[in-house]
Amino acid sequence: MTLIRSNRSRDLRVDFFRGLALWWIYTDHIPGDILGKYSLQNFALCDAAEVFVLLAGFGAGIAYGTTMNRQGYLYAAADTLRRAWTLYIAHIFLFVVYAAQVAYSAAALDRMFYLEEARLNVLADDPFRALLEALLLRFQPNLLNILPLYVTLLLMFALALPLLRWPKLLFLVSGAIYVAVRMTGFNLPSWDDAGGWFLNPLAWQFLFMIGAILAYAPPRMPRVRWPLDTMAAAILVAGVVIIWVIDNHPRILASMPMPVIRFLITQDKTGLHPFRLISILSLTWVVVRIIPREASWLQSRYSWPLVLMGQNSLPVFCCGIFFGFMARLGLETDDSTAMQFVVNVFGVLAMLAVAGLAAWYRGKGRGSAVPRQTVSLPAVARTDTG
Amino acid sequence: MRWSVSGITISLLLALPVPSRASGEPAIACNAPDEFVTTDVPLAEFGAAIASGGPVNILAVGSATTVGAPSTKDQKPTAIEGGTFPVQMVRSLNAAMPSVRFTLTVRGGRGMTADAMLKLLDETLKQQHYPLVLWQTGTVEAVRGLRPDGLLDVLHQGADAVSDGGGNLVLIDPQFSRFLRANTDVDAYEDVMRQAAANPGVALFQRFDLMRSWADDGSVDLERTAKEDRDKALDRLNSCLGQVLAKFVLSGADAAKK
Repeated sequence: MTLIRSNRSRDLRVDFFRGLALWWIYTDHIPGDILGKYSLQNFALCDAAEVFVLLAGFGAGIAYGTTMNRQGYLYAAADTLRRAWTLYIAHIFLFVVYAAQVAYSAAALDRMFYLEEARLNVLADDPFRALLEALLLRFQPNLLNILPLYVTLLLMFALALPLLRWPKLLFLVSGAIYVAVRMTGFNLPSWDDAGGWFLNPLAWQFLFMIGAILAYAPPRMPRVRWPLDTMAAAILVAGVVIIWVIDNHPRILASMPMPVIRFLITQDKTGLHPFRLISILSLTWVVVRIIPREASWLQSRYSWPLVLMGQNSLPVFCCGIFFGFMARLGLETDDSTAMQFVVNVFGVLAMLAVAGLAAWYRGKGRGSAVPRQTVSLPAVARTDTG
Repeated sequence: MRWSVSGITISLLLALPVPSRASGEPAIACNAPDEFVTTDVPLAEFGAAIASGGPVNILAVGSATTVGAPSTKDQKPTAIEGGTFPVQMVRSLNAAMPSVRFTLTVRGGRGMTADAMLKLLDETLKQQHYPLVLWQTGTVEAVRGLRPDGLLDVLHQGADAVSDGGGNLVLIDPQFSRFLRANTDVDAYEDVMRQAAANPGVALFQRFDLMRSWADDGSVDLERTAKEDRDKALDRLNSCLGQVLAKFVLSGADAAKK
């Protein structure tokens, strides 16, 4: 039985790049990981988070859009909420794991006072309140901010689903919210004085909705493509220049007026800075132009690990964060080359194992479900939406 | 909020000339890669103050490692015997240029955010002229997961305040620790510190990378030091940081002459 799902309507490019983003998210979540120097954020103004959110929107557009066409809005919205609930539970689980990890590493380094310094000391000071705030997603520890964003994006998407049928209207509404958020700085509240969510869902929803629109109502390719090609290439090159030259040698800007300097060096991730948005959109355009949908290498055995991960992104994503915790403890104990090798090989193999298991389970379940189909709910084309 | 309140109460004001080390006491030799020891950012105001013969008033604003707050309740403040790294820096400056008098004022407190320090900075700069300001920050933001773009904004405002007050600013990033690296998204804050150094007259002293190089070669490594030797290791760390930082700011003053 093959673990990779492929049929004519499935775009393997989406699976491949989703898998790549998952792998980057793993390395980016392990501070000190040598491979973190080679992930997207070192070459573009956006990073794996943008790729992940765009493709999550794409996946949601296909899956829940199809469900809506077949079962109606209410059913599709309920399905979206069910997925959001799963992600919420996963987040709370990872929160508990994180608390345990911090306590363990403080004890291992014989540095219990670190707990007072880490934000988690609120767990000791005011445990009931801290748990409540974590459940309300107003307390998000370091590096645990993508899942709360994802949960909120799905909630918004459940509301926005009907608008998928009017993609231009959805684009305008979503874009208007993004612009309003950029101008006012409005953000969901966080506990304490953290200044709002680390990743503001009201800004990031624009990228998610763009992904959903691209999937549900793919726009026609323009007839004349070179202006877009040139623009996208120029934006990507400018991004590389900003990252490699300006960020490392900010002094070369010294002769420019202060507002220009500050404009060039500010690319906040919280509010999905426009530089980051146009960077991920340019990247998408270039990928679409360079890699044809039927590219043979996408089906080759060299790309199947990433495709497999991308097709099972929800379990891979959650387990990847969990494995990342272990990897962090590993690098904390010993940051030699050998340990770098161990955590990275372990991470890839473990995520692949999770992806393989999930694909096998799903395939098996589908196979045995066929005879019972007449009595069960109408079959719904389940594409992975995680 | 507990931190900021206690932070302000611990705020120190040490507007005293720092005594030089007793003669005959052996200086600790600290090796550091050249990239951490020199800067090409011209620290013109600081250079001019030295050229005028002083006194050169230096302001250090920061959290625990700058004010020397004890890290545990049972640790005595005197655990840092030789003084914090800003104290050690001024000692090195006085030793390197005996004809110029360098003085140090320390403000800040344990667990204080950059935002809280900005207010202290503004107040302090109104009272006196400081040709050189050291601002150690970023750790509390990283530990508490505060928004990096908020930190950048605060650092820009601080850079403006120091520049308006006729001074140069040296930013000092978080100290290296495996715990900090493993449990926080420290890179995001390191990026912000680097970006803030794009402001003219602002240099970044890369304490994180410098300390990591010491941890890698085993010369100073607080987290791998046995408990009974930790005070000694901390003293050595402060002394080495102070020495390197003194060379760093003097190289900036030299760069202004060119």
